[in-house]
Amino acid sequence: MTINFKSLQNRILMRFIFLLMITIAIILFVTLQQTYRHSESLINKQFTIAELVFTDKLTNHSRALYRGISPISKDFNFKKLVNAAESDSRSVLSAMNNHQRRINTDFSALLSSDAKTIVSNIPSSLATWPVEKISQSGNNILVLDETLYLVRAVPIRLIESSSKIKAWLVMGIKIKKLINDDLRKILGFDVTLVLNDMVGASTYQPLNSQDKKLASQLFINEIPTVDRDNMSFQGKSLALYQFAMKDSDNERLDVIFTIDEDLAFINFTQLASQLIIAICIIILLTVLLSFRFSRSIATPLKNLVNIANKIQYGNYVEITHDVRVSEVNKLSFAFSNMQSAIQQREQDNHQLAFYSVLTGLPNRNHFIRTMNELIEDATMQFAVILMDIDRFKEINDTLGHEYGDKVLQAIATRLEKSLVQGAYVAYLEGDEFAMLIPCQKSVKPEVLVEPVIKVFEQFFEINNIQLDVSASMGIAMYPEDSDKADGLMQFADIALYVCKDKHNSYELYNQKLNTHSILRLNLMSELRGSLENGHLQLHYQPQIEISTNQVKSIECLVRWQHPEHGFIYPDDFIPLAEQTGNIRYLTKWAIEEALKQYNKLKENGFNIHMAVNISAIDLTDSDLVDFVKEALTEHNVEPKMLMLEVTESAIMSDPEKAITALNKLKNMGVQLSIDDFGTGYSSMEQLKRTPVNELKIDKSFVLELISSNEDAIIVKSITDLAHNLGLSVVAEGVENKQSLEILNKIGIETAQGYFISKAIHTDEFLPWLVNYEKNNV
Amino acid sequence: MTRQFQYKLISVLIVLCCFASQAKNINIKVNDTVKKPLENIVVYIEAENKASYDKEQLSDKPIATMDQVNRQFSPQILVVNKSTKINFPNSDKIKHHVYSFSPAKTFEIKLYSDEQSSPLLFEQAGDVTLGCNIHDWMLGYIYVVDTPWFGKTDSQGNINFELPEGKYNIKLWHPLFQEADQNFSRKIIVNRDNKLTINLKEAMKPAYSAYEEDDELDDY
Repeated sequence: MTINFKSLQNRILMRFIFLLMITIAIILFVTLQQTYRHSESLINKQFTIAELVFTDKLTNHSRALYRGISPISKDFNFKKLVNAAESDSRSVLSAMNNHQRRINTDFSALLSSDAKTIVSNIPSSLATWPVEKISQSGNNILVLDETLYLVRAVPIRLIESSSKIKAWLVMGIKIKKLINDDLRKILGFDVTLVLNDMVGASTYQPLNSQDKKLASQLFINEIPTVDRDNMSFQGKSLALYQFAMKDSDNERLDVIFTIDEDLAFINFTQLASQLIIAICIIILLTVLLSFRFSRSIATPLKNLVNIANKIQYGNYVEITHDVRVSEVNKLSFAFSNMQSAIQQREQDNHQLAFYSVLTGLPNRNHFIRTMNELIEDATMQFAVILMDIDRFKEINDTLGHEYGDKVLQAIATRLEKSLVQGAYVAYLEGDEFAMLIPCQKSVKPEVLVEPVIKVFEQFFEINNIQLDVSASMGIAMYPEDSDKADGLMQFADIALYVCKDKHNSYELYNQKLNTHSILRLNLMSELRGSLENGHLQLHYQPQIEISTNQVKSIECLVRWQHPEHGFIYPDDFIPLAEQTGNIRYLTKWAIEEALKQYNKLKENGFNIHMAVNISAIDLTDSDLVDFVKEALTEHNVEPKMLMLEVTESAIMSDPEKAITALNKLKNMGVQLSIDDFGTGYSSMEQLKRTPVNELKIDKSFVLELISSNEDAIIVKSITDLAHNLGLSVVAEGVENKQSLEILNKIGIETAQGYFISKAIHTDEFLPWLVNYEKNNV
Repeated sequence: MTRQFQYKLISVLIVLCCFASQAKNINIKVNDTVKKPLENIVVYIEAENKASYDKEQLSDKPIATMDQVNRQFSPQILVVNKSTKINFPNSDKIKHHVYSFSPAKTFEIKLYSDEQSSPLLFEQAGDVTLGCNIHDWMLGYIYVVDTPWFGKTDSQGNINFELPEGKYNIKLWHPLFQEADQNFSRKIIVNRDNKLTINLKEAMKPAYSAYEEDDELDDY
């Protein structure tokens, strides 16, 4: 296993251990050093005390000795014997022996007043005794027969108060008797007396063992000459302390205390080992704790890393919070928050991606996806219903987009409530809704759409306006019609389209409809080509001045003679062209064709106004004004001879832009007309602002003019209104003479309709006109 | 000096005067090395011709007394002529044990408390140091001279002698004299009244007082 030194855990661990080691090393060093010093100073103190005790002990012995022999010297009978010593030394000696036994000394000697031995009981007595010295109080030590004695001399005065000293009495105790085990125990050290390089007495065992002399010699050789506090003897380290008791001319008496260093420092060694054990335990504990600690940081971090990785792949996990380390805890909370924020945002994105903001219903993406899922499951059959709201654009145009949105929301709410169990509704865009309704193969479409139709049975009341709304539906069945979502959508769309055409409330898709739809789809790609190839033509429907029956103007209507599909109605392709933007080319083409036709008629002596339809798209196209100007110039046509017809709703889709464009055209001199007037929701205000010359009353008011008094009233009112605004009026859909007469009575200037003529092919128009004029005359 | 002793001394002098009508007065003054008069110095004068007074010497001599008063010898120094008997009374109410190991007279009067002990005869010239076996501090001296002319200086260091004409040796004694002074001897020819001053050659030894020095018993 390799150790990763960069991992947080190991770094923390290493640092902990490193720090601990240093701390311990310092503590160990300081403690041991201080302990050693302390112990050393302690032993030195003990040595010093021992010196005092030893000296005191010796002094006590000396005093005891003095107290022992002093009375002897004062004893009258002893004095008598001393007085007679020269003649009778044996008597005094035996008396001395007697006294010696009494006070337990080791030798005695009687000296003359000049310190010469008179009589003594040791073999090698001194010739002259240092009585001056040994009579003084203190520790007087003499070497006699190579043996150390603590000695004391007292003067014998025959008359006690006399200054005259008759003799000296000397007694001594063997030092060996004093340097004994008791002393060693009291002092706590071995005591060795060294007199002039000779061991005089010692409690130190090796010096009292067999070869005493050799051992003593070796011992002395080992004694440090300079002031040192340790020595080594027979392989043992000894702590040592020495002091001189006596250092005269040629006599030197040293006292040496020794102790085994092991014993002297036994506490120290013990302490050291205890300390080391304690330290080992501390190290172990610290390593364990720091391991735990570093893990308590590192493990949650590792977990968080794992979590982060999971989040990266979109897996959301429950984050457990480690409360031991607050920073880590905060981090994990931050992760938790981040995760939920990401989740929230994802949900939001999902909502945006799959749900409609407006209605809150699933959107197209969601719808397609759900459908795909159902198809993948292949466990149930369903119907796809595409639905769009009839005349929704008008609602938007007249009541405003905000209102329209509310309508959509209300519809969405009702749809959701009304649908059968397992059904699914989505809002696609604009006014289109889509539904998935599980069903049996044999289900009848009216059963399917029944709940949807019910939604629209009751009016919607929004902003205190009651509104009747209807919808058209296209239905495609899975899996009969298609087993693909795209196909189902397309077929439902086709069915819807057909349904709209037929003004039914629903249409079930069938194969037949499909061709129509494919045609529709192809048309747009072919439109521009058709413009260039002359497959499109303008047909002309004349408009007559009612008062004179003269053709004053003609409306130019686009006709598409498709080489494969035959004649195509404008209602089929104009909306498509508007949707795809191809309308621009169509309009421009139509204007040019109209101008050409004008010039052609003019050549034949007819000066007739040419009316061309333009769409809302054209009005918002900034090109149009310039194009008209150029075209007029190019074809050398007076602007007033061109009449552009715009529907009410085309103006309403973007009134500002439309009015601007219309103003420019009017200023140019081009005539303007409002087409299909009465079907839109134009306000009077709007009408007032619109710079037109003419109103064209929609044919729906004119067609049944004879039977409908109301229509007549409307037409009359519009006409009065137009006239009052200074506009001329054109009536469309004039199909009989009575209508024409009524219109004439109302005071309408111009009429157009089948009663006059249907739209006439380009080539046939001039002959028709010539013929008409001839008849009219 | 006790009255009794003075009286005796005067008596002796009168007797002497009777025999030597031409007796001269000799005044001796003893000073220390710094000319300070010394009291209680034993001064004795020996005639060169001893025989001249031997007879008188042997004749009846008064009994001298060395008393013990307040645990001290009294007088501390007693000078007597040879063959004088000395009585050792005890004026104290306690017992004493007077003794001497001096060669001039070794004796011992064991514990006694009254004057009943018989006088002792001091036949030999020399110093006799007295002690008491039960009172170590007691110290007394008896100086036995072999001449009728002896005495101790007074507080002024003076002593007077009436001496017949002749040749004499003047000698001094005191227990604390250094050897030089102890051996002092001066010849003098007496033919008229005379005054002599003797100065010590060396300062006297200090008085010995063992018990003050003994530090080893201070503890107890």
